[in-house]
Order: sequence, then structure tokens, then C-alpha cells
Amino acid sequence: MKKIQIKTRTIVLFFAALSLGSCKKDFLDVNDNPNLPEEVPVNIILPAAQASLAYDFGGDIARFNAIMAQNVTGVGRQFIGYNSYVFTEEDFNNLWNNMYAGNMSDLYKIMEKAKATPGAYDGYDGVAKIIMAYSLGTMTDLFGDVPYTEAFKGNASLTPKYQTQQEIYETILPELLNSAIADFANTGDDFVLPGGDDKIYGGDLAKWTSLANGLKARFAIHLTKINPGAAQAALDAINAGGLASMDDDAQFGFGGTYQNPWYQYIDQRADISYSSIDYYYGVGCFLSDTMEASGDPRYGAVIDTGGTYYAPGFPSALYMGDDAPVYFFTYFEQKFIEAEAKLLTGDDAGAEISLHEAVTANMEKLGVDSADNATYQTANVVWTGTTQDKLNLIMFQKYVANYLQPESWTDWRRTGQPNLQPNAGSTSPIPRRYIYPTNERLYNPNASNASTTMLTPRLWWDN
Amino acid sequence: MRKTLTLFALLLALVSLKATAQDRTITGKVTSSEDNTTIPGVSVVVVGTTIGTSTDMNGDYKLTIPPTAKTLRFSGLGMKVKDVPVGASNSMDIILDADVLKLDEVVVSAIGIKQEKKSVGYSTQTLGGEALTKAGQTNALSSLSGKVSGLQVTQSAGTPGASVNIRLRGVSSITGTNDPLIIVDGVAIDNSHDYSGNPDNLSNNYLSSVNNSNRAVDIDPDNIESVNVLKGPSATALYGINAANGAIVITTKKGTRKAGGGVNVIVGTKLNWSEVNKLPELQDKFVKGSGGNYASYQSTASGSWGPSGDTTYWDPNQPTPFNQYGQMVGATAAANTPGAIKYHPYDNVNDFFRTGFSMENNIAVSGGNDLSTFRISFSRLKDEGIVPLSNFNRYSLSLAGSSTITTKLTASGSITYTKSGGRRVQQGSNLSGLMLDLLRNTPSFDISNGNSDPEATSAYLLPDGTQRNYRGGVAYDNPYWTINQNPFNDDVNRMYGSIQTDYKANSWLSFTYRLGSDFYNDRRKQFFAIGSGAFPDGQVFHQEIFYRHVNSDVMATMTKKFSDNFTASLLLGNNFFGSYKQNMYVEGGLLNFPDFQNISVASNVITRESVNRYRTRAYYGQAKFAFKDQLFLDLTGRSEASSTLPKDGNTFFYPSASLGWVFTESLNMHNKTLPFGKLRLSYAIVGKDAPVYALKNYYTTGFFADGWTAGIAFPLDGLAGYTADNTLGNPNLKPEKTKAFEIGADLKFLDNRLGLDITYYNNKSEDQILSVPIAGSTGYQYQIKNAGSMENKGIEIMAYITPVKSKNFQWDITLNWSQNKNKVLFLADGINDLFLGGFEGSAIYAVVGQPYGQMYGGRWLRDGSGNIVINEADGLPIQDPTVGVIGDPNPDWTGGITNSFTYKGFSLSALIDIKQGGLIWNGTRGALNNFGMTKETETRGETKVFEGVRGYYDANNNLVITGDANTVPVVLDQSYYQGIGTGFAGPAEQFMEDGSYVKLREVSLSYSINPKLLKKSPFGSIDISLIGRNLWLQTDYSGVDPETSLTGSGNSLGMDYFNMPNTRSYGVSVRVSM
Repeated sequence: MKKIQIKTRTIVLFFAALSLGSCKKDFLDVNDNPNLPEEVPVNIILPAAQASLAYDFGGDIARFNAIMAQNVTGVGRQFIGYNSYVFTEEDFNNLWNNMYAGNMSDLYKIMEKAKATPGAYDGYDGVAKIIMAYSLGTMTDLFGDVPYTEAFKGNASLTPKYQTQQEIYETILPELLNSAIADFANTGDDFVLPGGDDKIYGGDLAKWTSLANGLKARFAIHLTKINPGAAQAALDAINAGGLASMDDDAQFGFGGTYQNPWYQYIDQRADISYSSIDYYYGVGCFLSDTMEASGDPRYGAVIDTGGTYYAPGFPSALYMGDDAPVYFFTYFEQKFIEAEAKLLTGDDAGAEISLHEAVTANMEKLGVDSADNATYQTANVVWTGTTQDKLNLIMFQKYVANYLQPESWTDWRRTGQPNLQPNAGSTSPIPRRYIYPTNERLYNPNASNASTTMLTPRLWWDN
Repeated sequence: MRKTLTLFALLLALVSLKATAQDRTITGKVTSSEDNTTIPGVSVVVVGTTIGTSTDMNGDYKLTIPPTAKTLRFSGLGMKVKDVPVGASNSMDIILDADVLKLDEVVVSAIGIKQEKKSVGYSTQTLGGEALTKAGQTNALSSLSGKVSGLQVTQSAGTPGASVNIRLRGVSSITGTNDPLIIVDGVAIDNSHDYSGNPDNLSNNYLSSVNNSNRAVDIDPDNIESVNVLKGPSATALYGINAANGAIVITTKKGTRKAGGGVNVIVGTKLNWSEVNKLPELQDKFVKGSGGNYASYQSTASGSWGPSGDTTYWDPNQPTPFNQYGQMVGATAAANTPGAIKYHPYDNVNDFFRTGFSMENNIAVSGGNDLSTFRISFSRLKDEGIVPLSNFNRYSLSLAGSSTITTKLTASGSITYTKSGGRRVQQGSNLSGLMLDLLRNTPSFDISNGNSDPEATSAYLLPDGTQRNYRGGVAYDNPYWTINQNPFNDDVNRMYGSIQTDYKANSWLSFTYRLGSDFYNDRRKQFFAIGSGAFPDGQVFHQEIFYRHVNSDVMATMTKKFSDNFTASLLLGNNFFGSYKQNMYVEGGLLNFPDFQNISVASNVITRESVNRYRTRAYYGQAKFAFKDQLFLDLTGRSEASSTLPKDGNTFFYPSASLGWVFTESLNMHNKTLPFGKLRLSYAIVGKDAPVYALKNYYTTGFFADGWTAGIAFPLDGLAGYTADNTLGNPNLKPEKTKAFEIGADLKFLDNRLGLDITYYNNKSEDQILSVPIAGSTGYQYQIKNAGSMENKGIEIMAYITPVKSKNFQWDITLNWSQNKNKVLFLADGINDLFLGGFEGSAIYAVVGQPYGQMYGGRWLRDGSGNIVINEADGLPIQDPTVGVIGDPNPDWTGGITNSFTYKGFSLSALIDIKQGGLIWNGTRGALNNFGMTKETETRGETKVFEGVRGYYDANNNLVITGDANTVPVVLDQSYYQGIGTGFAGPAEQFMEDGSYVKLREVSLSYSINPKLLKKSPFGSIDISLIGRNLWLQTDYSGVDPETSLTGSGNSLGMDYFNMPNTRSYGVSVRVSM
């Protein structure tokens, strides 16, 4: 009897086990991702987009361009190769992806979300467009032709076509900047202003407008080699309302839990020498050696000669401090553009004034004593000679002022100033462009005729 | 009441059935034809019924048989089955012949079904548990090396608990896991190898950090009864997903009834000593410095490019806390310095490693009665590795039992609790990586500062409390700093087991229900003290991984014997599987004060959480047909639904068919030369689902780095930031498929003195789900899609020979040989190369038309005929600006030879393990050239003319190749070795080396005390073994033991970047049973 009871129970158990779960329709319904959201609001995307641009612009781009413009010397590991201009396409993978699949793609998402909710997010839209113009302009100045109109679209366009640099300069950048300024004029009831999530200007749209104008001036002056109207266009942009003082400088602050990219690089890798008194290597470089030789008071401001912040011979805390900002566009750079534009449009006297203002603005930014500034300018910023001499003076001062700024390599390529010679140990001339990254060559047939050298073809504005 | 009465009547009927008057009782004795000894445990069954018994300790049996009984069948382990007709006599003494062909060998399938090997239509290989425990390896899987054809085992390093990479018949999945299933008693257990570190860094964490275990390390080898290796999809198709990678089927030890009652007790102890077996050769001639000049001890210079040590002295008048004898000076200065001490190089690397020691103790108690058995075992392993302070400990407690509840119902189960973990070793591309720090260290710096105690603080701390290392306190950690100040500890608590009930409804129908579960908690903690190279402000992280799965199987089996010649059986089953994995990560940086290893002192804390849930449901069936005990056909089918596939296409079906034909039986070839021969043929299609959460696009927490630095992570100052994830999901994914064809033969010659098992297979995987790289300009970097296709073709040979066999002495040789040819057929439209893992410029890729896992990286520029182009301006080869394939890490073939000799109680066995071919990227050498530390930099300054054709750059900077042979000499000096002569600036191609090896994997000498001598003692047996492992290694590889893997059990084999060395070990093992 007992036997049979067990048997019955066992059979019931078998059937119960068989039906386990199979009656529950949603047994397999566990594929909703609890780890990542499918949608997030624009004010959550904007700070990430700004931070990623700052880390890339102040990181890979700043380091590579600082090698090209001889702001620093590569002395360790991979940077020994870079110092003699030995680069492969792999060296640009991170940089490209961090820009295109990082901040630019996120900015595109903000622009799309703003489009989907007309009016409400025009403020974000405008901010996104200005940063997009900045990023796109940066990329075209490094690589030449780059994708834009078919970019960032994911599955909808897996092989984005490349825009010529001319098209980017003449059509896309002006469109982005103009449309941003127009967006800010839209002040409907449901208009949402960026606030603390805007790590650059804290939601101050007037400052964003002045940056848009300042960038128009920067992009315009890049074309001096090929476009006789470039200088006038730059002046027009500044006069339309560029940065009014260094309070308007576009910069991204670091500090606390997220350290400046130069700081991280020096602290974690240290394969670069910054000056002849560099504590690790003591290998000099053209810029710091020249500043030191000329008694430039900025030498002591950009190079930490006493090692008070980190170690002797490294960049000062203004540049490598863990809380140092990454500068995108400064008032003093705009003043240098103004000086160059005035000179090229025949306003010799105005150009001289703008140059002195530019140098002074840079000295002020660095906290150099005004008497030292005056002494230095009297001796070294002397407006004399031919127009070419004066241009060389402007470009040299801009080169010094733009310490560690990627812009210097662009200025060198379009003006040849200062007159840099290839680094010792190099068999190649100084590079004039970057190589397209591996994934563009392999997976985007539109990049199939991409350059594989650091020299050719030259960019459109460099011909 | 009525019901009760009916039941009572039934019961009566049952009882009366047993007492039929015409029954009679047969008795007898079973003996062996070989030596006339009696055989216990021989099964005696009335053919055609379930009536039976077995012989007792003295070989006697007693069986009551019905009048209908015509034949008795006698079968015993290792004996030929004998059918004897029942005659008039009630006494039947039987003599059984030994079954030299061992045709009753049983194999266990993936789903836990036992099957005679004779009837199997695919290739399997079975090993006894002893094969895994003999050499005393911590990880049971690493003991399989060289013992199974088609199985490639790579022990990633010689550190305690280091992971083991296992591959059966190559790889079947391009980016998914290629680990075989690990099945214990019919239920898969998890064998993950999880990285440590910030999940935002993804698999880059495998390149640095510590060598974590793969979770098979939790299996106590002493608990293993046998291992059956199922090599191909045909063997595992019924089991389901991941079956394409084959399976390692482990059967654990169960309790046995002790003859004469009582319990069996087995106690064992193993002691093992290990030491480094191979290190890269370093130069010790040149001291710290650059350009032939000294760099002071406190300078941050990184290279050993100073003057020769021959002309170097120490000046005690220039004391430095970095060196006990003072600063280095040249011979001229020393001549003017009273008390100058002649310099000698420090042998830091050899002095650092110690002799490792491990001790394992285990005890097992088992017993039972007619109805029930039990076994309980406990083992404890303490493994102190070759790196001071490193260790790995494992405690394992197992309980197994079975009970016959009624004649029809049995229940069994086993449960194992394991606690494992230890103090791990920092490795790889990591400023705290021990090999990186040891090998880059200059010979003029004494990392120990004269101490022999590895914990002495004066080795790694300066008097001011900052770090003492060869670069003036920055960058690379002093190895003693790392082992003392940067501890990584892990602690795993795990429980796995299963319960099973079997119900035999009648003679042809039975049910089985099996429920298995595996869950563990893996807690890891890493501390980097303030002042560490990578984290000058200190860092601490906690990582907690929780895993759980539940597996349920219900099976009904129907067996029908249609005639003496034809038997068929049908199995129907249902399976549910669900797993849950949670990974909690908390990292704190900027520690507020030193030496307190708690996250609460961190001022910068980030947390990450991820949860993966995964479920499948399946129905399956297997039909088996056996004809005349010589032709066997198996058909299986499984229909599986997975949670990870799109809802409207989440179900997929896969079938298999296998045929085994014992042709010697059919063709009546009963002769001594070929007494047994079987041909096998099988075909299977197995499926695989998608990874979790692969159908949609997501946003992810902002994290931005550039490959050089740690980068920045949101939240940032309390501000949230999300960025679109780099991977594009795909709502239209369909399951992957692997089609597998296999043909083979099992042949036994000359009374089984010679055996051969040969298999050819051809597997093709299609529609592989890949995360395919796309141009970054799309706004994304990867797209998930069904794309890749890959094939594996191979031959496996297993052979055994017994050249000598006499009463006291026997010599056996076992050979395993296998060759797998893999080819990536297709990746995706327009995609010819796919990154799998590694560094920029030296990575592992899948490349169309090439074997899987090619080394891909920087290379020399070549002309159309393949000659390297030399720049005639400086005589140096020109680097190709594009990267490409630079070497194939896959071996041409692998093999193992075991020779065993037994003489009376002694047995001696030696296993030689061979890997032929397969290149390894010696990234260690590439880096060390830069620092002037490799042996080749000892001849610095000599000249070399690179072989190649000349080229030059014209005025427009275009390369012109003249085609003339190069004659321009190059001085191999510091600027060369820091230029293209190092892996940092030069192409990875020049550091590809042959990773072939021949090693004496295992040697053991065992002695079993003659049981006769123990008769009066309380002991049943005493076995003593001396064991050696990796005693001899032959290789051209210039780095550590080429059996190495930076990424552990991941898919990117063939990379050596400051990998930890491997070990050779010696041990002694004693086992006593009572």
C-alpha cells in the first residue's frame, strides 16, 4: 500500500515538473536590459558630449599636434617614434572614434531630439551645433575630407560619404553656426535653458553666440592660403560680436574626481619631455627653449621651473594641473586672428594695436606681471619691417601664446611660421596631415582612397 | 474502503507471485579463466527478466529462478559476458574469460546517459580520475594536457590558481566563448573567467590586472571518478547551446558498499614543490643610464643604456637611499676615491622568485547497504606560489548519496561546497605587473636592498616613506612594493550539485527527473597604496560577482527489444535553464590617508552594476536503434527557445544522426589480428543563440579614455552624463548554426595489445553573431549581426600499444595526435579583419581566408616580391603604415606520448607533450629592447646590414624602390633599439617567435604496497607516488615557457606581454585506504 502511494506521488511530481514554467508564458521574457537605458534626456547627454570633446581635444589631439608644432619632444616608448614622425593608421583610431562615435554622435542625438520637440530644446540645439562645428572643424583640419551629412546615422548609413574640406568650410560650418545663433533667438514658453549641465558656459546663450562668431573668425582665417577674402571674413565675424574678454573664453574645467588630460598623461605615462630642465628627461624643444632664450616672462608661467606643482621643467599647473581647464577658444587667440586679418586687409596700424592687445591678453591670462609684459613687448614685439616680417611677428607671438594648443600646427601649415625644421633623427619632413584610421579604411569604401602617409595629399586649405 | 481492499488484494497477488511453488534455487561459484581466482561482483541475471543477483566476496552466488528461466547471463567488469543455459542441476560453477577487448567500457553522454562505448557513433575519450589527480595540479582541467587528442590545454601562467584555456577541435565561435561545456553528473557548471577591474574597460582588463581563475578551478580533482571528453557536436547535440564547443563530462565519485560492512575511508596527502621553469634572458652587463653615461640612482631614467659594469664602481662617499653601496662612478673616478667598491650586477629576477609549495589533504568516507550508499569527502589545498606572499587556497566539501526507495524508484544526489581564492599576482601591461617591473628593472639596482625577507619594508620604502624603485620612485613599482602594498585578494564561495530521481514504471518505460544548480559569490578586492605607479593617489576597488543557474530536465525513456536482433529505444525530454549574473563594482580613488585598506577613505568613488539574465526552454528526443549488437543508429533532435533572440524567431531546431558499425562482427572476422573493428559516421547541426540584450541600442554612462591614460568617468562632480553606446543592436538576429560531419574507426589488434582510434571531422559554423566593427563615422563602432562563417577540419589519432606484457611486468604506450585546420570563411560584407583582443599594433584578429586568431600588427614595408624595403638614407627597414597579418598562433599539430611501466607494485609513467608550430608575439622582448634589457642589447654597438631591397624618398617624398640589395650598415645602438628596434616604435612583426615545444609534462613513480602484507593491518591499501611536472622543456621561444596566455581563457591566444613564467614541480603523494 505504501508502495503505491509513493508511486502516485512520484508520477504527480513528474508531471508537475514537466509543466514547470511551461504554463508561465513569460518564462523567456527576461531580455529587457536592466543595465542601460534606451533613451535619456538632452541635459544628460550634453555634459558627456562636452567632457568627451575636452578629453580628446586636450588629450590625443593636443599631444600629437604638440609634437608637430614642437611644443614638446617625444622621448619615451611610442613617442620616440612619433617624434620622428613615424605614425601608423592605428595611432588615430582612438582619436577618430572618440570624436565621431563619441561627442559628435551625441551632439547629433541632441540635435535630433530637439528636432523632434520643436521649440523646447532649441537652446540645447544651438549649443550642440556650435560644439559640432568646433569638432567637425577640428577633424577636417587634421584629416581633410571627412564625413558629415551621412554621418552619425547608425544602421541608416553604414558607409557615410566624405565631404570635401571645401564643402565643410564653405557650407556646413557656416550653416551650423548661423543656425545655432538663430536657435537662440527662439524663446517660446516651453524653451528649456541649459544650466549646470553646460560645463562650458553654464547655459549663457550670449556667450555661446559670441563663441559662434569667434569660431567663424577662426575658420575664416584658416583659408588665407587659398582665399583672398579670408581675412575680411574673419574681421566681419569678430565685428559681429566675438568674445569680449577672457571671461568669455570657451574652456572645460577639470578637477576633483576627473583630472585634466595632460595631468593624467604626465602622471601615468610620461614619455614626453617639455623643456631642457624637464625632471625626467631634460630634453628641450623648440618652443620652451626659444621662450627661455628670449627672456619671455611667459616661460616661467607655462613651465614650472621650480617644480612647485609637480616636478621641475614640466608644464605649469595652468596647463597640467589636475584641475587645469582644456581651452577650446580664447579671447587672446581671437585678438591674434584680428591682428592677422587687419594686417592682411591693409590696416597696418590697427594690426599693431590688435597684436599688442593679443599679447597682453595672453599675459593676463597667464597672470604675468604687467610691468614684465610691458618690458617684454617693448623689446620683443616690435612692429617693423615688411608685411611678411609683421605677419611672422604676429604668428610667432600667437605660437607662443597658444602653448600646447592644437591650433599651432594649423597655423604653421598655412603660414609656415615659425620656421620649424624636422626633428633630429627624422628622415621625413614635418607632417601636414593625419592618416585616416584603420576602421575607416577597412569598413567605409568612401574612405578607400584615403591617405596613408602623414604628408600627402595636403589639405585643401594647405595648397 | 473499497479502494483499500482492492489494493490489499493486489499486494497479496504480488506477494504470492514471489512464492510460486515451482521456483528453484541455483547456486555456484564464478572464477576467472586467467588465474582461477574467484570473482566478486559478477552480475547473474535470468535472460529476458529482471531477476538477478551478484556474486559475493568469495565469488559465490545464490539465485531463485522461475521455471520459465532458460538462460543465465553472467557479466562482470572486464570479463566477457557469458550466457549459460539452465540445465537440470541446481549447481552451476562458471568460468569467465577476461575481456581483453574491454567492450563493456561505458561512456557518459552530455545529458548524463550511460552508454556502451561499443555502440557510440562518434569520437569520445575517457580518462580515469587518477589521470587528473596524479600530477597534483590545482585546476583539474590542466591535467588533461597531452592526454586527449583534439584537446588543446594552455596553462596561462605558473601562478597559483591561474586560468587554463581549453579548446576542443579548435574554435567554433568567432567572438563568443569557445570553452567546452563542463558537465558534472549531468548538469553543466559555470566555467567563466571574469576579469577584474572597471567594467567600462571591458576586455582590456584581461591585458593587465591579475590572473583570475576560470571557475573550473573550484572542482576538487580528488572527487572525480572519470572524465569523458565529447569532442564534437554530434556527441553533444542533445545537450543544447554551446554544444558546438564539445564537452568535458565529469562523473564524480559515489559511495560504494563496503564488502563485509562498515565504511571505506581514504586519506590522501600531496606535497608539491615548484620553481620557475623558464625566464627570458636578460643582459646584466650595462648599468642604468643613457647614451653610455651613468644616470644617478635617484634619476627617473628608465633604460639600462649606461656604461659597462666592468668599468663601474660604487662610491660609498656618495651615499644614496637607493643603493646600499653608494652611487655608481667610472673607473677613473674610482681610482681617486678611497674605498670605492667594485660593481657587480644584481640578479633581481632569480632572487625574487621562491620555491613554491603546495599541500593538499583529503579524506573521503563512503559506505552503504543494499539500498543506499553515501560518500562524504573533504579536501583542503594550500598553494603558496613562486611569487612571495602569493597563494591560492581551496576547501571543498562534497556529499553524494543514493537510495533505492522501492524496486522502481531510486533517488540520488550530490552537493559540493567550495571555498577558494587567494592572494593574486599582478601581471601584464600594468605598472604594478611583476614581470614588467622585474624585467625592466636595471641590473645596477637591487630591488631587495639587501633583504632576504620579502616583507622587509626597506626594500621598497625610502626613509621618507615614498617608494624605492629603480626610476627614482616613479612609474614602475618595485616588485616588493607590489606584493606588499598592492594586494589583490579574492574569495569565492560556491555550491553546486544536483538531485535526481529515476522511476522505472515497467520493463520498457522509465522516467528521470534531474534538477541541478550552481551558484557562487566571487568577492574581489584590490588595493593600490598611495604612491603606486599607476595610482599615485591610491586606489581601492571591490568587485562582487554573483552567479546562479538552475537547470531542470525531465526525461522519459522507452526501450523495446523487438527481437534478439533488434532493439530500439526512445528518449523524450524537456529542459529549462535560467541563469542570473550580477557584477557589482565599486572603485575609490584619491585616498585620504595611507595604509588603511577601506573604500571609505576614498574621495572619488564610482560604482557600476550589471545584471545579466538568461533563460532557455527546450524539448528534445533521441531514438536509438541497435541491430544484432553490431549496427547502431542514433537520431537526436532538440528544439530550443532562447530569451536572447527576437520573440517572433526565438525557437530553433537542431538534429543529429550517428551510426556505429562493428564490421568485424558483421563480416564474421573473428580473428586474433583484428578482433574488433568499428566504423563511425555522424552528422549534426547545433545552434546557438545571441548574447543578452543584443537587440536594441542603448545609452551608457559616460567614460572617456584614449588608450594612454585612465580617462574620466561620469558621474562627474555629481553630474550625470550618458553617451550613446558604441554598439548598434540588431532586432533581426537569428540563431547561429554549426554543421558537423565526422567519420572514424575504432580498431583493436592482436588481443588488444594494439589499438587505434582515428577520426576525421569537418565542422562549419555559419550565421555567427558578431559584433562587427563599422566605420566610426557612423556614430558607432560596432554593429551586431549574423555574419561570420568558419570551418574546422581535422584529424585525431589515439593509439595504444602494449609492447611487453608478462605476469609481473607490463609496458604500455599511449599516443595522442591531432591536427586542426581552421579557416575563417566569411566575416561580414566588406569586412576582412576583425579585432578579437590585444593591443593597438599587436592584436589578435580573425582574418578572412586565414586560420582564426591571427596575430595582426605593424609590419615592414615589402615590395611586390615580398622583400623588405630598406631606406638607403639610413639603412633601416621602412615600416608599412598599415597593419596586417604578422603570424599564426595556431599550432600545426599537438601530440602526447605516455609510456607506462608496471612491475609488481611499482608503476612508472612519463608523458611527453608536444606542440608543433604556432607563433607567439614576444611583446616582452619588444618592450625590453627599448630599455636595453634584452640579451640581444648586450652586443649593443655592433653593426648589421638588414636584408632587403633599397628604396629612397624622392623630392616629393614618394618612395622609390630601386630593387638593389641593401648594403648600408646600421649601428645597433640605443637609438636603434629605442627606434624601430623596439615594439614601442617598431613593428610587432619582428617579435613573432616560434612557440613550438616539447615538454616532459608528467613523470610519476608509484608504489602500491602488496595487499597481502597489509592483511593484518587496519589498512586496505597504501599507495605512494613521486611526481614531477614540466621537468624538461625544449623550445626555441626566447621568453618564458611558450605555454602561456596573457588573456587567460579568452579568445586571443598567442600573446606574451610580461606574462608570468610557468613552473616545474616535484611532489610526493600518499594515499591510504582503510
